[in-house]
Amino acid sequence: MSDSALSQPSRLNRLFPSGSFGEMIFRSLCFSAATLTLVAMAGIIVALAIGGWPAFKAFGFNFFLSSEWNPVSEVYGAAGPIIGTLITAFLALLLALPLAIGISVFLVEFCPRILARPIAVAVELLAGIPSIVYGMWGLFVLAPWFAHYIQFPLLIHVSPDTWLGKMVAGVPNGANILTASLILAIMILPYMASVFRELFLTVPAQVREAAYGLGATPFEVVCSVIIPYVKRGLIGVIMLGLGRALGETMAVTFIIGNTHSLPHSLFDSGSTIASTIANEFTEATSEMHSAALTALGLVLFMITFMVLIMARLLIGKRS
Amino acid sequence: MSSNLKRRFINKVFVALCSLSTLLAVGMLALILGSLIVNGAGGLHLSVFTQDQPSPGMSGGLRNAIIGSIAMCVVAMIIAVVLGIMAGTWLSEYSRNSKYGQAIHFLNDVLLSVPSILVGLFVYEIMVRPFHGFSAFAGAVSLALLAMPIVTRTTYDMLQLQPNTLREAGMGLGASQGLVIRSIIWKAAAPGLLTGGLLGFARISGETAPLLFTALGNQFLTLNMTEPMGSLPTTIFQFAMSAYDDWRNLAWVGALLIAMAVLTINILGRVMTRGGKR
Amino acid sequence: MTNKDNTVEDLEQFIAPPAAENLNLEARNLDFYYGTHQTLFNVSLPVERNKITALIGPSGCGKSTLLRILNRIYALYPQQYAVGRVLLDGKDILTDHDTLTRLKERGDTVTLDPLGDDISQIRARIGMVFQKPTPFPMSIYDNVAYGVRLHFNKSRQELDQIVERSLHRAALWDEVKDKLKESGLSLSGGQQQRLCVARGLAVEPEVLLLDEPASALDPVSTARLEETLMELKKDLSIVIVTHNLQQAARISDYTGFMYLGNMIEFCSTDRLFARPKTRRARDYLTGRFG
Ligand SMILES: Nc1ncnc2c1ncn2[C@@H]1O[C@H](COP(=O)(O)OP(=O)(O)O)[C@@H](O)[C@H]1O
Ligand SMILES: [Mg+2]
Repeated sequence: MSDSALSQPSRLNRLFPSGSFGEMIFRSLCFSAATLTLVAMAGIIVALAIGGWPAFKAFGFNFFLSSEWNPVSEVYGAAGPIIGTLITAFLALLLALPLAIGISVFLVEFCPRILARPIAVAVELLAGIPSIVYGMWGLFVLAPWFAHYIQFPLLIHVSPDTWLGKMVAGVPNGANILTASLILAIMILPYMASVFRELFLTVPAQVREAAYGLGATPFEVVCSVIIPYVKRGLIGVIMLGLGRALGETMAVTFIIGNTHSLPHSLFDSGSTIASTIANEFTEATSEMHSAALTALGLVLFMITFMVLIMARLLIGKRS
Repeated sequence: MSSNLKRRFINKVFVALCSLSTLLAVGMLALILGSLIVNGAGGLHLSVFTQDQPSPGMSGGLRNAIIGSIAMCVVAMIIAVVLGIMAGTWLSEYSRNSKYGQAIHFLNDVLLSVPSILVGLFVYEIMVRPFHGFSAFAGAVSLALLAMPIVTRTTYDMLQLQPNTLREAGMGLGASQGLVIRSIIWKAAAPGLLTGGLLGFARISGETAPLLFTALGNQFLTLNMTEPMGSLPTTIFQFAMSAYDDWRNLAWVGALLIAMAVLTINILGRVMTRGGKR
Repeated sequence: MTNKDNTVEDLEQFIAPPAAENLNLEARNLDFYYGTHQTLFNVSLPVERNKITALIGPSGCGKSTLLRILNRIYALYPQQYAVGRVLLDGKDILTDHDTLTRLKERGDTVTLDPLGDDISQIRARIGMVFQKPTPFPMSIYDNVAYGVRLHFNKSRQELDQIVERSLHRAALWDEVKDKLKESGLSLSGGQQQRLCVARGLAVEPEVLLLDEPASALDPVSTARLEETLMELKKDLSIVIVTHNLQQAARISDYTGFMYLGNMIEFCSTDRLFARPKTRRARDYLTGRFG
């Protein structure tokens, strides 16, 4: 399909005849393609800014502070989705991080050799499964299970006035902040675990051996030598995982309940920026509605952009 | 020595926790794949590939969505591979670590993980809104924008792996730099470049969000790139969120198909790299 | 080369082995395997207390492998295994289940006298310094204190003293006393290597194993390291692998010459360098191969 260009350079050579003029064309084409990256990046920012401008102008700072999102009365306050995005992403990270470290340490340090490779490959492959698959599983399997075995019992047995009762209040249909975070966690878990594993493998064998040679236990070697050795990269990867969780659309849209008010508990339905855009953008009838959604997009872009830049700076400095 | 007993105990607990988290995660992921197969495999008839998507209550398949997905992915990949390989080549061979080159490299890495829904919004703003219509071509462009950074990055990495002696040998024979790149370096790196393409392909073949408001979706079969076009992910989304059982069943079938396709492409990519390294 | 060349009887004919009561560490009849690939054949090595024992021989003859058995570092890799005995002060340290099974399979009927199953304690008593410097990603102070913190509960002052003394003994104190809080990675190669020596010394091991510790060092750093070792042997026993024959001659009391996984000759350094018994050792010492 696409690789014919690679295996037959001779045909391309006819397209770009040798000689200084052909050279210059080839080189400029490559340069333009590279510049496209910059153009795309700038384009995303400018397009979102222009598209969202009417909403920023109409609501000003209230766009971020108000949680009233009402397409009928044309009032748009994005606090609900913004908070929802942050909560679900951080919760997902909180759930996934220890597991991811556990898996990668297990694979690098403890797992019998015959098992280590297959598990590592499986984890890596799972990292590539499209998020819509995770989302569907959340909707059809996790949500009903969660409602039946967790939400109902809690609703019945825990008084709504207690601290715990307030945490778990909500419609018992399994579509809520917590299940959305769970799905997000499951989705970023294979990704983080496999990158962590690669990172841990970059620690020179001699440094590991030196630590073991002093009589350290595997736990001590992992905590005091291996993890510090790859600290920057590790934090970078955590940021990338966070970036994924922040911007993930399909895994969340299915299961978060899609209400725009501020969530009152872990078991309350909510929304994220991405899920709101995915749900409403094609149905937005008024100019202001789509402007507000585009403005939301710009907010999401700014948040993830910051996280990604930090991640890349940290990872880039690793060597 | 009691502190020593404590150390060994802590270590035991740690090993147990690590094993447990692996067990938990692998079990969970097996559960997901399992329910995908249980729910999807039953509906996997030939009709899925020969009939278009049905109205609620009717029988039908996913032909229009499958073909739409393939069409948009192919167009996207052509764009992404051509541009990505050129961009990666420039970064690796021509940029000479200039400030601009480093900036592009960095931006490409960031673009790699920009939320796909924002890419969809961007393409909507530049291609759908100005021309007043959703189109398969807009969908393909948004997918291309998602695949291109991957191809660029892999191309860069693979070209960097090629030894400088190769370049010097080629130029020593009097070939120009561009000729050396096209006739020697690309050839030597071909398996790696192909892997880059496959990785990009795997990434976009399951993408849903950017298609929602670029290609939109279409319940009829079409190959016209200027019209809205159906795709597997958007159809799955629509069907899964619906209240009809047969639509939901078809959604499972579609999800199974996508998962299988992505797995196959990824495995193919791994096999290629291994073949290339040898 | 066959195993017949270095049976125990043969060895005993031409070496005056260190007296048994002076042995700090001893390897007896070791075989070693990387998977199915055998790299050591019936190797024995006595290590006398407060002496420096050097291992020489061409690359790939198994010197590092032998060293890695002595403090059981090889056990980190499941596919590597040793068969034979290693005794620390007369007590067996290769007492894991696999080794025992394989000893039986080989036909050894000795009853072992195990030191205990705590590998961490064993390694604390037998320190190791590697070919490339291996500073940990932490401050110089923390590097040296690392092993002490693992094994002992020391107060802050005691720790300070131990760190200072260890750095002194490794001849590094004067260079780093003003920057103990800086990263260990910020030192030069020679300083890093001495930092690793200090780190090993801080836990007060009885035996220190060094695998070509000077191969990455410049002549000045090498000389300092040698001085350090000569100084250290007052307190502990040292086994050093080296490619540098002059170095072995200068600092060691005993030397073992290995070839293709066999211990060809082992005797006092003076004797080996003056009158090697075997042709192979003679060829190697005169630079005819390796
Ligand atoms: N990790 C390993 N896996 C397999 N074989 C190895 C490994 N390390 C060393 N060997 C083999 O063991 C033999 C002895 O190696 P080594 O002890 O490192 O030699 P020396 O330190 O004397 O140069 C060599 O033949 C080498 O090829
Ligand atoms: Mg060696």
